This record gives sequence, C-alpha cells and structure tokens, in this order.
Amino acid sequence: MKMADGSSNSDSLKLEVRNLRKTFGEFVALEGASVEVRAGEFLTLLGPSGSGKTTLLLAIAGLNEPDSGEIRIHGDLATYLPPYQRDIGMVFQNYALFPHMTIGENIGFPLRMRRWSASKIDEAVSRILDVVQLPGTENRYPRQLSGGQQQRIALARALVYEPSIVLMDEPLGALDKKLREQLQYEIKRLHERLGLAMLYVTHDQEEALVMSDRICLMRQGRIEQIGTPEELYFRPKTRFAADFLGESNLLEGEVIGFQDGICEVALNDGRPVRGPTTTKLNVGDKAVVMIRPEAIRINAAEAGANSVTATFIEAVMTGGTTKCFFEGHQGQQLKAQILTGQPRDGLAPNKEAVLSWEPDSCVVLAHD
Amino acid sequence: MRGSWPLIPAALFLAVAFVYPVALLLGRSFVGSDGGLSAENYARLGESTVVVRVMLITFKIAGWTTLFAIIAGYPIAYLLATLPASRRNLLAIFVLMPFWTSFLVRTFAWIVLLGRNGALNQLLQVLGVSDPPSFLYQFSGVMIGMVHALMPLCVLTMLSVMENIDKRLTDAAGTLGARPAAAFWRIYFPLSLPGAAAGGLLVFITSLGFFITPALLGSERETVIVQLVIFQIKEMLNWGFAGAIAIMLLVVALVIFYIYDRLVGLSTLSGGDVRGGASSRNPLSWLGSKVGNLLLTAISEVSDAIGRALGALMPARPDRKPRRIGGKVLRFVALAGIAFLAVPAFFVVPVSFSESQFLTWPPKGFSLQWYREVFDNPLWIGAAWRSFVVAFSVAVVALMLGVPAAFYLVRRARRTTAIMAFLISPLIMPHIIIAVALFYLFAQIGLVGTTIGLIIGHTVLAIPYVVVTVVAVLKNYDIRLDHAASTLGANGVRTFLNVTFPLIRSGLIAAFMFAFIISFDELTISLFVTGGQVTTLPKQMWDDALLRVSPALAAVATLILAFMTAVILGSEILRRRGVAK
Repeated sequence: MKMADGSSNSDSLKLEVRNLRKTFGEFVALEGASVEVRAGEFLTLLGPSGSGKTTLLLAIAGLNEPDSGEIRIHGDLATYLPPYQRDIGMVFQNYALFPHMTIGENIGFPLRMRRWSASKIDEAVSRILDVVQLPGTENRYPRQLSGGQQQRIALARALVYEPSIVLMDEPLGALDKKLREQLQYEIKRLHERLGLAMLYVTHDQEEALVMSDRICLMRQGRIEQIGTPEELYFRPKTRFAADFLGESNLLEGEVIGFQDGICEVALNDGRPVRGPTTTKLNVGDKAVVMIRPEAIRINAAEAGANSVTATFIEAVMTGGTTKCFFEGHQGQQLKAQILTGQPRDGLAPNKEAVLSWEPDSCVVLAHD
Repeated sequence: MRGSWPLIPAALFLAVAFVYPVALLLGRSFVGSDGGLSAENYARLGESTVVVRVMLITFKIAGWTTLFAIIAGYPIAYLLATLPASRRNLLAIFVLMPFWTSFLVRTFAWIVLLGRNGALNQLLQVLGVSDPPSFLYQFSGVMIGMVHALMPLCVLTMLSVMENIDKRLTDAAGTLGARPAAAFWRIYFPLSLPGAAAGGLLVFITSLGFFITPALLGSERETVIVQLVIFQIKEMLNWGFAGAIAIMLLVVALVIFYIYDRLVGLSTLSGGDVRGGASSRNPLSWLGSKVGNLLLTAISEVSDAIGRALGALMPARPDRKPRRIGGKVLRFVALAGIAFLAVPAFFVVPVSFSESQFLTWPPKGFSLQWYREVFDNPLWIGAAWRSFVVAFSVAVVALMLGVPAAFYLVRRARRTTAIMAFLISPLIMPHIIIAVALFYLFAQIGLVGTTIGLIIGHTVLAIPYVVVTVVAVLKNYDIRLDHAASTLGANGVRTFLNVTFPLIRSGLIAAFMFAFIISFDELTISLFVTGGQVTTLPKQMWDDALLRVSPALAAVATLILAFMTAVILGSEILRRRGVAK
C-alpha cells in the first residue's frame, strides 16, 4: 500500500487511462480513450466487436503498445512497462490455463514468479481454491475440469496474488447461457467479498447490466458514454447508446421548445410530446425520442402523458413478458412490452390503439 | 468390414509391394550359405568389425545430425509459428527450398561451396583466415550436408506442434509476473518439446537410411550402413548378409519408435496432442519428466537471473516504447538459418555456365558448352524423359490409391490409428530396406530394369505423403456441406463432383505434387530396381558424380532447379485459383 500523500483521490484510483490512442496500420482501434477505475469498483467495457474494448484492455495489460496516451496503475505510470512489471491480474477469454501444469502449479505460478516460499504458496493456493469453491483440485490437470471449473481456476490464478486490478476479457464467452448466468453472479459476489477493482470486457449488454458498478460503452475506438447501468439504460446520451443497451422505440421529430428543462418535440406526424434531454438541443433541431418498450401503456392514456396512435399487428409471448408490435405513422415500427397474462383491453389485429408513456420515462436525443 | 472398399486398393498394393517383399527379405536373411535355415548371417553381423564400425559411424552421423537439426531448426520453427499467416507462408517456401531442390542438386551445391578452393574458403580467406581447413570429404562436410538436407523436416514437424500452442499462454505468463525468459522456459518450451522430439525422431530415422550425402561429401571414414548394403549386393552378391544388415537397421528403427511411443506418443508425429496422463503411469517417462523439470527450472532460474541483471542495468521505462532486443536476435538467428537452407542450391547456377573443365569458384567466363553437352547426350535426355514419365505415373497411381483410403480413414474408419500407421509405414522405413526388398522380389519376377518396376517402387514411397496430405485436407472439410448438398437433391456422385471436389482440389494438387517430387527425386530405389539397364535422372547424376563432378552436372542440376521451380509455381497458381473460387 502506498503512503497517503494528501491526494486521497489518486490513492483510491486503481487505474487511470488518459487519451489512449492505438492504430493498426490504417485502422484506428482506439482514438483518445480515457477511463478510470476506483478501488473496489467493477467497471465494464461494453461495445460491439471492433469497438476497441479488447485493444484497450490489452494495452492496460501491457500486451500491446499504445501509440500515445498514458496508463497509470495504482498511481504509477505504466504505459510502456512490460506486463510482468505491472500489478495486474488477467483472465483470458479461453482461460489460458497452462495445460502441462496441474491446477496447483497453475495457481502457484504467479507466486513462484514472485519468489514465495513453497509452504506459503501451498497455503495460498488452497485458500483461493476454497474461495472459488473448488477445494482439493490441486493435483488435477486443466483438461480434467469442465469449462466452468476452468473459468474459476483462471479467476483464482488472477486473484491469488491480490493485484491492484483484475482484467477480464470476455471470460464467460465460451460457456452456455445457464452456466454463464450462474458465473456472472458468482464473479459479482466474489468481487463484492474481496473488494477488488475489476475491469471487465464483454459485448453482452445483459451481462454488463447485471455485473457492473459502471459501464463504459465504446464505439469505433471512442468512449460513447460512461455511467451506472441505470444511467446508461434510462438516460442514454446518444442514439447509439439507446439502441445498443436494451430494446428501444425511436420516434423522430423536431424540437419546438423548452419548459422547465423539459424538451418539447413535434413528432413527424405533428403530435407534440415532452421529455427530458441528456444533450444540448436547440429549437428547430432534429431529434429522436427514445421510449423503452416496458414504459409504454396500451389504451390507458392518463392526463399529462405523451401518446401516439398506432395499429396493432401482433403479440409474441417470450416467457414472463409479452411483446406487442404496432405500426405507427409512415410505417414506423413500435413495440410495447407487458407482463404475460395482463389484460389487453380492446387490442385486436389491424385496429388502432393509443400508446402512452410518462414524459419522465422517455429521453430526447440528438438525431445525428 | 462392410463398406471398407475404398481402403482395399491401397492396402492390397502396400501388402504386395511393401509388406511381402520386406517379409521375403527377412526370410532370406535366415538362409545360410548352404541353402538351409540358419542364423549365420546374423552371427556374421556381430563378428564383422566392419559392420560394427560402420554401424557406429552411422549412429554418430545420425545423432549429430539430429542434434544440430533440432537446435538450428527450433528458432526457425518458433519464428514461423509466431508470424502472421501471410508472412509465415512466404518464409515457409524458403524453408522448404531444400525439399524442392533435389538431393543431388543440393549435394553438388555443397561441393561447390565447401571445396578447398570453394566459395566458403575464399570467403574465409577474405575475412583473414589464413589456410582455412577444407570441409569437403570429411565429417564436417557430411554434417553440413546432412543437417541442410534434413532440417526442413525437423522444422516442419516442430512447426506443426508449435502452431497448436496457444500464444495467449505466454501472454498469460507475462501478466502473472513471468519475465520473457521464464515464460519461454516454463511454458512455451515444455509445450513445444513433443514437437522437437517428433522432429528429432524423423530426422534420426531418415539419417540412418541416408547415403548420398556421406558418399559424396565424406570420405572412406564416413561410410554408412546403407553403403555397406549396396556393396554387399552389387559387389559381393551376398543377399543373405545384405538382408541381415537391412533387417538389423529396421529393428533399430522399430525399437526407437517403440521407445518414442512410450515416452511421447506417436500421435505427436502428425501434430497431435501429447498423450495425457500416460506420463505419470510410465516409470521411464516419469523419471524423464522429473529430470526434465529440474533441468528446466535450472535453465529458467539462470536465464531469469540474467534477465533481472539486465533489467537492473537497463530498467524498463514506463514512458517509452521498449526496444525489443531479444526479438531482433531471434529474428536474425532464424533468418540466418533460413538463408542456410535456401541459398546454397543457387550456387550451382553460375558454375553451370563456366568455361572451365572443373567445378571452380568463382566460375571462369561464360559458356553454354555444358548445356550443349547435356542436350547432345542421349543418356541425359532418355533419363530425363523416363524420370518425368515415372514421376507422372507415380503421382496418378498414388492419388488413385491414396485418396479413397484417405476418405475412408477420415469418414468411416474406426481404428484410424492402426490403419494410418499401416498406410504411412513406408515413410518411417529406411528406404534402403524397401529398395533391397523390392530388388529381391523383382529379380524373381523379371521386373528389374523396367519402368513398371520403378513406378511400383516409387508409389510405395508416395502413398504415405498422399494419404497424410489428403487426410489433413479432409479433416478441415466440413462434412455438413455434403449433407447440405444431399438434402438439396444431389446424389453421391453429383455431391462429390460439384461440392467436395472443388473444395478439396487444392489439397489434391498438393498431394499430386508431393508424389511427383518424391518420385522425381528418388535415388535409393532407382539404384536397385533399374538394375543398371535403364536410368532415371537422379541415378544418371549419381553415376556421373561417382566418376567425376563436372560442370555438366551443375548444368543438369540447374535445369532440374528451373524445372522444379516452374512446377512449384505452376501448382501454386493452380492452387490459388482453386482457393480464390
């Protein structure tokens, strides 16, 4: 641990990335990415493939060299340090367990590299195996374990020497859905219990929402938005963020005015709606109103609510919820999500319905 | 065995043209001078000091060749395995250069390079070494020639294992705190060891059956076992004794394979995984792995200490990109090794245009006299034509036999390992044994000195290459494409013609090339089976070289080099076009 030097801020920052830029020939993989991870924080890099999230993670691990920018781990400059001199732990996508070593030797490897004594290593290995709930597997080989077990061993190997920050590159990508969900909760619990800083990469938005304290949404080498899962889900700042996380209805229109910080938009069919905005908009700007499907009520408009009319097309049951599809003005697709079994008053195919939502539950975004 | 018909032609062919003659030779070696059953030939093996001495020399040459091939080949294979595919393929062509340039062409190149006044010694003199030693006609020359000839085999075998080592493992070791040296010795090297073992095994076994290089680049003192067999048959007409020597060689080879299989597992030979778990049960390899582990830990500790010391002298700067000295050294060493493999063959080219009567360096003047001599000599023209006809026929026959067998192996067979082992057994058998056995068989049925005899002999050698190549292609072939075709209404024949064949075409071309080159370059079997009546290009070169190494041979070598290059380029273009579609 470092001595507190007055700037408690820098001490609680486990990772700082400033303006990182990385190109591969013509291709710009990272364009000035900046991100911070605080002590005990679980931060997820989320984005489609090619958005630069893995490039960023590998640069932090020291496995590729950025062209410019700065990386600080626990306050110390580490931009171009070799991986073995960084205080990090990394869990790889395919686990990268050493096939010729036993589980015990795999987990003991980072400790041997740090010149721990054999007895201390054995002790630490068996302790961490308890933590990941695989006690007594020291003498087995990786190939004798299932995918999920190998994943836990990889995690144990990255945790055993208590690094400043643990990096994880889509660690659950190779597992099936059930096991993935189970391990998501396990990793989250482990994170809370050990109070570690974690940087997690995934392209699975659900995984990001479930696990993260904060999500860093990336797009084409840039950071689109950083915030809590709630912020990203309910208050996206861009159309891309709104579209990438969860499902959304996007209605186009034009800004006609502001009232108490609430933006008024005339939709393309002329109908006025109101909602808060997360970006700078001026009267006359083209805008998009984003409404989550579960915020929409069908044929139950209340005073003060926004509403549009649309033709009901069909309903699809997806388990606990049912999706209702509508066609609005100029063939605009709209969907509403209701609980399965909820009454659907007056809803019949090809019949008009009134779709309404509270101004608070939508966001007005720039058209871009 | 219902539905095993695709295997039958190849199996039958190998049974008749390979297993039967070898068995026959084995039987003959037990026939004594009085015609009765006797072990006298084997008794003579032990008594004859010549045989023992030659055997020891052969082992010495094979052992050193193996060691050098592994040590020099390892950095090359490592570099190739870590390069992106496009650059790897380019460098692989140079590594394979000795494969494509015939054995004899290469050996002549070394004569030009290594002679007392050869290119190498002249270079050494320029560099200030007065009176440099002659490398030719002694052990060092044999060593250089052998390592050059067999290193590609070693590199390719190691590469096939290294390609399967996940690059992320070394990265992971780095993030866990291992310096590059520790990551290499503790992670990469142990995982690549089966490749080195497999490469070493193949080189050793092949070395045991080698005689061209020792005969042309060495002296009396470098006489190897194969030359003894040739001598016993050609000069002494002592079949029983020659057979006994050959069988002894076979037994040695089999024993080595057996030990290897117990220690490492034969599947690594085709790039497969190291057999898991077996190591702990087998006391021999348990001991081996314990000793190996200790050794590796020691090496790792030493190199780690050096790394630490260097790190203390020149600490890594967090604010500046590191200079990768290690990577540059590796690249230099590997590229030097590749140059060693690729460059020598080209030295025959300038010599072939020499005005001088001898192989001198640098060549004097410019003249086409040697080409004229070659083209005016019906012996050379006849040999070239026969070589071409034989090689083409061998490629066709080997494909007709090998391709169905490969299909059977990949798609239907249950005991794949046993069948595969049988089909590729000619590959691991020293060629001299096949040659002597076939000669013995052919002598009895009048096939000696016939083109048919040559085609049969070469096809035995070519089948393993065809099977291995086509199996590799078929393993990567997604059988669901065939299933899709059949659900779309194509029958078996249409499916093969319209879907399977276009997709595996490039693999078949490669297999054809392999078979063609194997035959075109083959000397051992030709030496026996031609019976001195007909001749192939390699045999004509060999006979000539034994008399006198003249620039005319360099001219022939240059022509073969040009022809091979054209063939390789042609097939590569054909293959690429197939892939592009």
